[in-house]
Amino acid sequence: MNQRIPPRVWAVLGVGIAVVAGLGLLLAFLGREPGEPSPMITPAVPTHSDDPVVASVDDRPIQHSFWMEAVLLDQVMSGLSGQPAPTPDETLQRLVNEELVLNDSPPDQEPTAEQIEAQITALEQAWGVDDDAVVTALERVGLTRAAFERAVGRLLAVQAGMEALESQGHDTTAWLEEQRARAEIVIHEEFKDVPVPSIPVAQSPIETPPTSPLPAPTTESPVPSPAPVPATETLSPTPALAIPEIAPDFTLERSGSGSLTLSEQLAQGPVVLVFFQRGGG
Amino acid sequence: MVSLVVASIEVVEGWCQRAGVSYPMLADSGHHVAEAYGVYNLLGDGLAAPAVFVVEPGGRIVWNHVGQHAGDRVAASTILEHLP
Repeated sequence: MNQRIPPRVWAVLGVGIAVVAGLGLLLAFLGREPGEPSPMITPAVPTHSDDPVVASVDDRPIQHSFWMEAVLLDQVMSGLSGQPAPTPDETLQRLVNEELVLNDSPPDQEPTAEQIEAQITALEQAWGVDDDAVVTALERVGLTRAAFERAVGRLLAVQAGMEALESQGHDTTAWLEEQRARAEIVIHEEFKDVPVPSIPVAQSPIETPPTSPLPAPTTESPVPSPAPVPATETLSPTPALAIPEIAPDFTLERSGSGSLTLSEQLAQGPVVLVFFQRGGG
Repeated sequence: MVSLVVASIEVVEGWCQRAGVSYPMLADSGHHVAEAYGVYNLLGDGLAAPAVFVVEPGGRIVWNHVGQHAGDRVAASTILEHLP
């Protein structure tokens, strides 16, 4: 199956690593626009097997649990970096690309624990968070720091493989296109229609995701419902209680220069407001 | 798309430069806007919860998604489906 490389495939890990290490190779795969639509495969719940194969690259399988862990890690890292998360399909395509790199250009030696820790520290600095915040974010989706360490180690291996390819004179973007055209890449489409959700990860020592004090998102109704937050002793100072029906107008300083007023934007058409949890620093 | 962060404009500027952000990023330094939209400190971190609001020209919020954890975000394609 020939597939073009989705432009966002490397974005999440690429941004984090590239910001820190200045990796031109991974930057070649960036260029994602936040409003860009993309095809989506809904993550699948294992049915006939505890851990079915969701894709394969030249008969090398990508297991459901591995994909789900990557999806959740992408979500966590996107949240920490303030970026929208890639779709599960984009994460799967990234894993396919990583398989191609690792198979054709395996690193001379596996990344060491010291290298992985150094990279994690660099990422945390770039995100403006400490290690406790990372662990907390991981635990919220049922992941452990060990999963994060594995992902960073794999990324370092992929990074080394891509640097090796470049040193051999390859244009890595063109190389990946060629490999994807050559390789037998099978995405098991039957997983597209299997609904899923919020995902406890297979092999995670945390079997049940922590319950959230927040209500479910209002994805069904065109009119937003109030979002009551149960009184929770651990939240402080005071959680907000409701989402308004009419968007409150505001004027705020904006990046670049000047300010932006919501009502002026609405005079030109609908507006998508995106609150990022963290913008760095 | 308009993005907002509970942070000073200096922090926002620095982040935009590092991340190469090309869309408007607003600094809600006093978190008044996040509070008005009901997303301030929902995760107990003194920040805005990750959230998306689609607002029609008349000002009505026609769709929203409020993240229940730091990584809880919706796909861009989902947001586009809810544009009026």
